[in-house]
Amino acid sequence: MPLPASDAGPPIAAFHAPASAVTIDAYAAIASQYVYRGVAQRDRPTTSFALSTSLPQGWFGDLWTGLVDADGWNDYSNAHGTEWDVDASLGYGAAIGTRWGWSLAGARIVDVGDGGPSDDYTEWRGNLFYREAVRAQLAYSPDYLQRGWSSWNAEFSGSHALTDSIRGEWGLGHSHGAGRRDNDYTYGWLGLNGSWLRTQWDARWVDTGQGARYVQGSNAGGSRVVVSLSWALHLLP
Amino acid sequence: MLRTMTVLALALLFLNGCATSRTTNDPRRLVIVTVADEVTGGMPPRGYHQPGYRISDGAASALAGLERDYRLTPVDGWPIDLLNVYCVVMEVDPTRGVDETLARISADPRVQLAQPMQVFDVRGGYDDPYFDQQYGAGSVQVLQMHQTATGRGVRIAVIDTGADRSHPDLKGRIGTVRNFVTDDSRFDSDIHGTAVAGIIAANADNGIGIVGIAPDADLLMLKACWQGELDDISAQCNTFTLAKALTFAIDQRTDIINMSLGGPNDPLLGLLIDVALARGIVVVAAQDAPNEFPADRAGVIAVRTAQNDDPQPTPHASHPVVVDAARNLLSTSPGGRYDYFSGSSMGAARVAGLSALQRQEHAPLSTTQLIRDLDQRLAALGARSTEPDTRLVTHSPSAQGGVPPLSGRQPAVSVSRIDGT
Repeated sequence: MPLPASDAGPPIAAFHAPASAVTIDAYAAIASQYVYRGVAQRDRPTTSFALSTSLPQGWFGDLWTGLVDADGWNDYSNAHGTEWDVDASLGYGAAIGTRWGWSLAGARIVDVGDGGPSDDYTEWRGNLFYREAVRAQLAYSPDYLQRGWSSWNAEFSGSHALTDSIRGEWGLGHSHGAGRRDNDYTYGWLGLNGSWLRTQWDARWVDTGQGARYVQGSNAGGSRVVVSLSWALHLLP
Repeated sequence: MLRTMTVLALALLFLNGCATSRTTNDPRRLVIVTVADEVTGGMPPRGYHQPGYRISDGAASALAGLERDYRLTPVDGWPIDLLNVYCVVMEVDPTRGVDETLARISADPRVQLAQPMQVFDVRGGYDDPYFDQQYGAGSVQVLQMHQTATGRGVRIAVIDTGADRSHPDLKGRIGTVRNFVTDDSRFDSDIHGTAVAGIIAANADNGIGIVGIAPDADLLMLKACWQGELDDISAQCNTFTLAKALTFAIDQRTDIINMSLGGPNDPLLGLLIDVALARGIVVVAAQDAPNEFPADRAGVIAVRTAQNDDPQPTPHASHPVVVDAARNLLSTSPGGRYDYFSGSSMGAARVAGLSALQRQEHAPLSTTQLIRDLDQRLAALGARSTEPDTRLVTHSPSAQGGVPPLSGRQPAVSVSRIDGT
């Protein structure tokens, strides 16, 4: 039987033990198209991979790469060559109590294989989480796509269990280029996701408002349905 | 359209219920709950790294429902992939009875296991310096054992307090360390774990101090127990910290797990020990009283300390028991010092060390062979000296018939040395 409180050791805070070890997770995904922050960067089937590691102290590193279509720095017309976007980030995160969490990270976004002038850029991200249900992100890039102007993106998203196996999801976001009227747009999505046979599935409807020149002038914005499947492999511990 | 999305998003946010966390910091109100958790964990959104635990959608939904239905407040949680469950420490609302709530939760089909948060004590708390030699008459036998095995290559997880990593006699022996009790950041000043580590694996032939039973074994010091006062050897652990340490030890594919501690029967820890045994890990535990967990778990080698005024150990049909005269054993103490220790904790450590020698010398043994070998080695160490009339008793159909290999669930074997007739 449990011992009396006086014999029961440290207070509840003692139970907030850290992750027991270094964690390394690998992910793979396929999708009907790749939409990032409301913009379709590839409107045909694509694939992406990610590697994520975290230390018990809260530090983490993520490496993501996905197959996109692009032609140079300002064209997501999906008409031209193939390239891989690489998103490498390092950061620190911690829990706030038992329900909230936050993380800060610096990321370097690199295009591999586009053949054009470099449009690699750095982005700073702050995330706030409420359990697994709600997340908010504010991202800022001081020199977006190396075009000499800064950009920020705010995104607010979440999910809610509809049944034991299906969750509803939603999200709202806004991208803004400082002093630029051609990069100022809002987007959002609604969808469902769940897991089946160790596969995570996701189906969402994405709608992107008009406001970015490269969105307006291409088929990268507007409304679309995206279906994806992804898998995780926990390598450590 | 986007306006509609905004309204829907805010509605869903409300439904998610940002309830305020209300905890009383009363450990007596804590319960352990596990739900099925088939970890699928699809790729997280690009650019989002969420600190803390990961959980499947099904488990998250089940836990959210439990919190709501039974007014539980989550304190912490983590996935136990070994059991395909998600385990949460929850606090029962002050307006509700813990026992009543546990009974109701246990009957809920979403729940796999519900139990109180239990507390365990490390064993062997007195250190009277009666003798001045570590092994006495058994020294020669230790040297003989080390001719053929020193524990080299054998990995022993010591689930205990911390230990003095810089102790000269433990230098190089302690590799991996983990502290699962973050409110107690002390590690190297912990007495109990330092003593247990020294008995198992203190360095040999280094010109100082003592010699462990398995001086070349690799120790993983997993701190799951917190020491009280700085100079007090007693320490306590609970279900949460022990479950984390056990999970880690199993994940690390250790050969032997030493648990010089005991307490009430614990279903969650029992399941984890079963997993360890099924993977061929030898689990050694101290036992001060009959029916004490984890020593009485089937397959666990229970180590009792023979004392003249003790009642005879009761043979049990489901687990092996070794009785060791673990009195006044010289071992390492924090700060580079040495001290004498007694009790079943130290007996368990000695048996864990002997098991390491076995593991290095032999292919997997049957349980009966293992216990018989341990018994002979203990006798060689002089452990039988306080039990002049000891005899080996085997209570097991499997011990009389076929002897299944050690790997896999341990058979029902009880071997003990008892005094008297």
